[in-house]
Amino acid sequence: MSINLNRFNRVNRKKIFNRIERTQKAAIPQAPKRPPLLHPQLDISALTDIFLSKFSASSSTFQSIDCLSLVPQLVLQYAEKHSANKTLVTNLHSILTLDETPLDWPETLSLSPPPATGNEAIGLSYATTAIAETGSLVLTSSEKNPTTVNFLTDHHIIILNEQDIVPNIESMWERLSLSAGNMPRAVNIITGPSRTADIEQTIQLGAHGPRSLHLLLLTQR
Amino acid sequence: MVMHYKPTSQETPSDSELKNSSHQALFFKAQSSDALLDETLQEALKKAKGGFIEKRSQAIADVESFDSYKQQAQLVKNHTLDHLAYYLTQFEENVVKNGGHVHWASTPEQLNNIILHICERRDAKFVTKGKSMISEEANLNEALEAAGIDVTETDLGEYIIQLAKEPPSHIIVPAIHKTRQQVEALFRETHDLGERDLDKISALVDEARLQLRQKFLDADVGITGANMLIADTGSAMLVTNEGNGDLTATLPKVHIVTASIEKVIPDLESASAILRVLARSATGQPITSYTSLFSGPRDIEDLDGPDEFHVILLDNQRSQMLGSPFEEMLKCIKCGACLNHCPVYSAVGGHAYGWVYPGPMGSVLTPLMTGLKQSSDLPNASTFCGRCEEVCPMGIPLPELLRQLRNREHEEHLTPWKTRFSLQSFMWTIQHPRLFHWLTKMTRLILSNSTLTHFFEKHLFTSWYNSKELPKNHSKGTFMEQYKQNSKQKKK
Ligand code: SF4
Repeated sequence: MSINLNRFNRVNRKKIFNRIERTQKAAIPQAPKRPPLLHPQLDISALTDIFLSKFSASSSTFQSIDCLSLVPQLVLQYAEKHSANKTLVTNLHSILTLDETPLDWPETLSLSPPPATGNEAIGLSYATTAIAETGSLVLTSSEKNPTTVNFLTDHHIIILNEQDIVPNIESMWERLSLSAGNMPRAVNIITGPSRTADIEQTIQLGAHGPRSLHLLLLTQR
Repeated sequence: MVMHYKPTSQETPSDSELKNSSHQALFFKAQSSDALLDETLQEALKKAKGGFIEKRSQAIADVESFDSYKQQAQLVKNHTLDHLAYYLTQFEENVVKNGGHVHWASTPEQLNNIILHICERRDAKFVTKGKSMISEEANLNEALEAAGIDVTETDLGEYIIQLAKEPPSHIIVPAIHKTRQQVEALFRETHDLGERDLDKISALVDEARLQLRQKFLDADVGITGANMLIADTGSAMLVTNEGNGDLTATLPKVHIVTASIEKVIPDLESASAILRVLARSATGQPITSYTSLFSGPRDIEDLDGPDEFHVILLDNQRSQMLGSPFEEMLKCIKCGACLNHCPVYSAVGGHAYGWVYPGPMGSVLTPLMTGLKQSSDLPNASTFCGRCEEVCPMGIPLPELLRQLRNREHEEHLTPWKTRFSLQSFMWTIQHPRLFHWLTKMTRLILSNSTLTHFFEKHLFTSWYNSKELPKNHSKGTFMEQYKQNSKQKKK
């Protein structure tokens, strides 16, 4: 197939816009004003509780920690309980964005550098923010947080700083403060493990992505 | 700049452009009769029934005011449709800012051609796909296969129907018409399984996971749909539960998003309003497992992600609906609630509707996209019970739109002569009161006589009698007779 894609797009774009603009009152050159929208309001003093109850409702589990140095041990414990394969893929060896101290990883865990390839059983990432309204963790793609870790591992463990929990979806976008030209390639709002109900409407966890999702919540003492 | 524009016949898609080759919507009646007699299908439909309805109503009961959520979502869509050209332009600019490409397709064929062009340029052999109704509109898989490209659907439901070589029968759960035994049989036929036990649903899901994992890793190009396009950030938003869309968007060298033009919305705040009603209406979840925002190719520091990002925007008659009596239909967020609550859909399933969109929303969309002539039964595939409009999060007046299509059918002389003749005779009769009263009198007499009704059922209305009986009438007279009688007594 040899089409001149640029020309093809120009011609088609024009046709489509002509059809649209025929119907619009006027093609306004300046930005139209979107009507203001209401956001659901949450009890700010109970954000963590609301978040954790919604998060658990999505078939996910959590543990609270008060120090990042606990992470390696807890990851190992989780791996021992859930997986024969003890390969861990993460780019958070030192979790520099969260803490300056390098972590001390037990030898039983075999560490593998990202991106994930599908051979690693456990993935470890950190959430940029979390939404209390929906119990969701929000991960932005970066060198530290490669997207494949979120989807190719069997068990996904995510670290979240309690301070990063925001009330609703809108406040999450505000916190990320995204703008065109400066977008992370992917923003993943994750609410529970991968699931499907495509066969006889029966819910099964672990369709293509992680079979389980575990949160390590870093609390302020 | 204000543009004055009059469409010329060249710029509106021609009849041949409209037609979809594998179009079966013309045969709704015959297909629905077959569906009612198909025992396996009826068993599958029975299992599906109710589940969605209950989950949705629970999800709605769990929030303070779903009505206010609906209102916010509708505000967003109304506003966007009023300024569609502006937001599409803004979206395009911002995708380019993010390093991506935007393509424009008036017709499904054009969409396929653009995709084939990209695949050819990147020398693609293997393509994975996330669920995309737009690619169903275009029959993309067939076009890819014809070009010698190996294409795999990765949504479990879509994968099942791809193996079965069938179209989807539901916009959210494409294989809702298949029982687990049928899925097992399909896997045994197509996978190398040996004697492995596939009795449980979990074993079937694991088997699909295993097979598809390799496909994800091998793919050269990944094609997904989009639930929303965000003008302000130049992003495509994808809502899934399985995570297949994310793997499709992340692992191959090229990510192509296929979406229709009305999917664009102003900004992320608007997206939040729609997210609040989408999953609740669709599966009864407050939010799905994965809601992802894709904005361009990988950055230099990124360790994964595609190096090319394309968005193909399909029109396929939508710009014609804009400003027409059917504009409301462009607010549809493809949640499937109207299908789940439709008594006709629940009885006959999705395939009877003959094209990619079934149920009430399909009965409106199919005629508008493929031509009323090709799908003249669909506007009539409704009892006008009104449940679809009631549950539609976007407040689309589906029964009213169907009624308008029926009018159009009548005007264009597409209704069968029997219907037209009966309607005209009825009109003539009610304009002649004496004749009308005499006829109702006779009808009452016949219906109150069991020998006569029996005779009619046996010999005249045989197909009617198959599923129901003639109404028996044991009243003292016709309505008018009784009315006159009563008023006389009152006077006394
Ligand atoms: S018409 Fe309404 S209920 Fe039906 S799929 Fe579209 S948005 Fe959902």
